[in-house]
Order: sequence, then C-alpha cells, then structure tokens
Amino acid sequence: MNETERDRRCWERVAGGDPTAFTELYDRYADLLYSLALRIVGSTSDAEEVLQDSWLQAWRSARTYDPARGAVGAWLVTITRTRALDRVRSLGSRRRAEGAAPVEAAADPPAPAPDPATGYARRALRKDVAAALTALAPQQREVVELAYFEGLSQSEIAARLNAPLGTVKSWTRQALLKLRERVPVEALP
Amino acid sequence: MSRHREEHLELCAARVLGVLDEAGERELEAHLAEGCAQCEAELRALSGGALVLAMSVEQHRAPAAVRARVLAALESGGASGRQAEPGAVERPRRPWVASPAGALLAAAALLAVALAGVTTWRRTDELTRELGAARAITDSLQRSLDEERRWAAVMSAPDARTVKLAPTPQGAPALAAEVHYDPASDRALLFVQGFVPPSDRDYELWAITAAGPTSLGVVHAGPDGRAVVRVERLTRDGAVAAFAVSLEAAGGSPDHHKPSGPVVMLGKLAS
Repeated sequence: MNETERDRRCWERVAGGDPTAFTELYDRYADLLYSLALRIVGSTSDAEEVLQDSWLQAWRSARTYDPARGAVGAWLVTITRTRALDRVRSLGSRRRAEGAAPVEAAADPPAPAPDPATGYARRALRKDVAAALTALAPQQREVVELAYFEGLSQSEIAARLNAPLGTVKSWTRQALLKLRERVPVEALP
Repeated sequence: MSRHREEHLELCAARVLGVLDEAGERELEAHLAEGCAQCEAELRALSGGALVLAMSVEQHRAPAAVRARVLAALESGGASGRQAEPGAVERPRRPWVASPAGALLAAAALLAVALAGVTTWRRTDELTRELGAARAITDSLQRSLDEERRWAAVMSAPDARTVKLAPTPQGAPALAAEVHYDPASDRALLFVQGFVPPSDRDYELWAITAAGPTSLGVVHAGPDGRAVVRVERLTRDGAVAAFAVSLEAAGGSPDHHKPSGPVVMLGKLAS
C-alpha cells in the first residue's frame, strides 16, 4: 500500500470521527504544513495559528474531502496554503509579494529542523524535490512560486514578468506537470 | 455538454495553484460537473506538482503546543460542527456569485462564517484554558479547606486536651501560650501572644517526653506578637508530659534535644 492509499484509508477513519486516525495524520503532516505556513506568512506566531486553524478546518470538513480530486496530503496542503494566504491578506502584509526580506531574514527566524526523521519528509524525497525545482526553467519556477507562495493571480504575474498571459498560463501547467513527473509517484502523500 | 478543450487543462493548473478567477472557476466547474476524465486526471497530476512545491520549502518542526491545542480542541468537542451530510461530497460550486454584488455578498457571508468559526474556536480554546485554571484553583481551595477543617477538628475533638503555658521567672510576664492537643489525630495547635523576642533572638517551642525535650521549632510571630503553630505527629518521640518555650539565639537552639537559652514558659499536660 503506498502512502496515498494509506492516507486515504486513514482519512476515511477520520471522516468517521476517529480521533486516533486524526492524530496519526497530524503527526505525518504537521511539520510540512507548518513549514509551508511559515514560508507564506513569515512569522512563527502567525504560522502556528494557521497550522492550528487548518487542522481544525480539516477535521470539521473531513467529509467534504474528495479522493478523486487529489491525495489527502495535497488537500491538507491546499487548506493550509489558502489559510496562510488569507492571513497574509488579512494582515495587509504583502511583504513577500513585494519581494522584501525572505523568511530566513524575518525578525524571529526559527531554527530549521535538523531533518525530520518521522513522517513522510524523508531525506531522499527532499533531494528529489530540490532536484525537480532546480530542473525547471527559471521563468517556469518563478511563475509557480509567485502563484503558490505569494498568491499572485496569473494576470499579476504576467504584468510583473512582462510576459503574455497565455504564456504564463502555459508555463504554469508545464511547471506543475514537470514537478510531478520528477518526484516518485509512490512517495508523494 | 461542454466539450473538453486544451484551455480546460490550463484552468486546472490555475485552480490547483488557487489563482483561478471567477469566470474560469465557473467554466471549469461546469465542465467537471459533466464528467471529464481527462481533466480529473490532470487535476490529480497537477495537485501532485503543487505538493512538490509545498515540499520544497525549508523544513521546520511544528511546535508541540499547537498539536496539544488541536487535539485538546478535538477532545473537548471544540472542533465539532462538521459540515455536510454523511456520504456527501461537496465540490466548489459558485453559481450564486454571478454578479459582482453577489460576489461581494458571498464574500462577506464567507468572511462572517470564517470569522465566526475562528472566534468560536478561539473563545472555546480560551474558555477551556480558563476552565482548567478555575478547576485548579477550586481543587487547591478545596484541599486548603479540607486541611483547615482537619486542624479545626483539633479544637473540637471530644478528647482534645488543653495546656496553658505560664511564664517562668526568666520569661516576660506578657508571654501567653496555649496548646490544644488531639490524641486521635496526634496533632497540636499552639496559640501564642506577646511573643516579641529581643533582636537577634527567637522563641522556640519544646515538647518534653520521658526521653527529654524535643524541639517543635522556632515560633515566628507577627509584629503583634501573635502566632498559631501547627504540630503534626506530636508524640513521635513518645508521650508528651509538658511543653516549654525557650529564648534562643536567632534560628533556634543548635541542639534539637536541648534548649541552649533560658526556658521562659512551661506548661504540664494533665495526665
């Protein structure tokens, strides 16, 4: 059974109201979701709130998860990313979109986890992920990162990069498919 | 039936990144609702790509406190209020946001629901913590109350005995002390007045048994010279025949079985 299938079964138990299954998934994904939230919001206190709200939202809406549209991990990541971007917008802070200091230079930079040994974030997978990003053409990478981490619309990205909207759309899709191709399917949550 | 077009695949990519505009969202949703295996497969592949993006960020350890809060909320039912009927699969549908005004209203409604959710959660979390703190205080007060009741019982115990201590010729006439002893609980209460020692001196209480004196400790009275001293296991060194108070150097006698200073009060326990 691969991780996607394992997570899906686990989430079925969560949808049935099983808190043990929820804890299992929490421990598997909390580091990833927290890291993602931190990357987007830039402060540990905001990232903590985003993480907390995201899990509670996932628990409340467990039954709305549709496995046909993507893996559990992808769904959790989507919830967290959306909440993180909402938080950035609600704070009126677009420092990341403005190209200001990266999170590493933020006022309260947290120490990076040495290398989380638990959960799915293993060293080999991380290496594949890094290689997949590096393999993208710089514009393709920039397009998906601006959309994903900054929440910029495709029109905004086109304006910023001074590229035609159609090209931005095409780069976006190509970049995502390439990323997916370069990371082993069975390893993805 | 909306036929599959290449543009639908780009709409899928924009949706996966959460940057699909309203018109695109409507179009894609209508298309998917009619069943398009190609787009469904595309969405799965693209969401995998988005996941790779998410995994590319520098990894940090999620704080344990968040885990505790989330699980506590689940246990206390703070995260209840699940949506959707069992078995239902909700998909994003936005037919009711056809006009800008409708979109604004919808956004306001969503915001209100979201804020209510967040507020409810925060409030629940807050109340849970307050309740926990209140319980701790109540427990502590209850323990104190039980303790006070046990000490008060010393005074009202049926076979409690009372000893009045009288100043010796070395003691100041203002000294007054009384011991209440409950043999059942083996506890004693000492009430004192006029215990204002000269500077660098302390009054020390002694129990006298057949084996000799045993220190019951230095008496620290308030500025008014009054104090209540509680003694547990009074007869641990044998039956007490008398009580005495000595005037010692600050801190009490170095020998716990022999007063160093003069005995200033004495009271015998009637046999």
